[in-house]
Amino acid sequence: MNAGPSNSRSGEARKGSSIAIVATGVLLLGLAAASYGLSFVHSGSWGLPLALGIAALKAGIVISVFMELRREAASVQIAAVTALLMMLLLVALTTADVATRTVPTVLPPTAAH
Amino acid sequence: MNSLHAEHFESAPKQAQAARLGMWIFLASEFLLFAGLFALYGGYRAHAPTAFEEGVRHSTKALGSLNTAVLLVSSTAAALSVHAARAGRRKRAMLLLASTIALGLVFLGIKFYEYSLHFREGIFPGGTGRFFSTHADPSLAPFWTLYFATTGLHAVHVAVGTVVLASSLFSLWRGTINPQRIHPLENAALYWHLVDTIWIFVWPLYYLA
Repeated sequence: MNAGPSNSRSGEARKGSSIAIVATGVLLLGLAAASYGLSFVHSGSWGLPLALGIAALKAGIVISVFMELRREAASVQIAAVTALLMMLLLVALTTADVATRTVPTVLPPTAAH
Repeated sequence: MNSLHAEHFESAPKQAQAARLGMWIFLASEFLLFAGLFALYGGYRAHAPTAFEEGVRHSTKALGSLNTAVLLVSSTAAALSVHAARAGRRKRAMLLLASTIALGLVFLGIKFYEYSLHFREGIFPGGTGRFFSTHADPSLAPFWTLYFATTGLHAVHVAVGTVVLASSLFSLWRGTINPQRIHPLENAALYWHLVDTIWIFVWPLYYLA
């Protein structure tokens, strides 16, 4: 991770390889095809976590290679990672809250007397 | 002013850096906007997993998957366009950017066709329509409402993205985006990649599993 004004990269400094970009695109399509194929396999309760795992991998590739987050200054990386962590926290805690409720949220009739 | 950067910036690279930081903070807020919808999905799915699995089985998997491929290819074209513009290959950059816009429009066309199929079947947001009177599970209504809310909000982002990319295409043609002043195109492409990233998660949640 880099920081500071010296890391204000110009377009010139960011020139990569167009072959690498095309290869990344092909990899993303391959992962999407794998995800599509797996959706026809009955994997029970593992189906959704598996599909989301592949999605997370694809998103990581897009953010790292196409969006060039790995080359950005520390200030940009912190902004991006914070948003991703907040998103994960919000989704995980909301889902966990509903999934783990074992007690009714209203008092049962017998307890109301 | 003939300078490549605004006068309140010390240099063009510093202006580009500030533009990228601002763009990423904007993208972070967009991520959090969709996070609310993903959290609702998680909560409702944990509450009624069977209904959500039935909803996913009923969605148009082939069309949704085709749209995934369209967006992934469009994102690759956008990245290649930025790469070409940095190298000073203006015509190539313009062609690739025009391809990205065209693929965005294809995505929207497929999405609206999907919506028309749902409407014909009597599936509307809010659990209204004849589909919900023949399918008894009340938790199907939240699935389809969230589907329309999430994919609809995403489609709005795709539409805005095509306009932003079209504006960059015009600037490339005029020469106001060039290898020395590339950050407007970089930021437009960043927005497009965000749209792609969001869809990468929408696809498995509503079409696959």
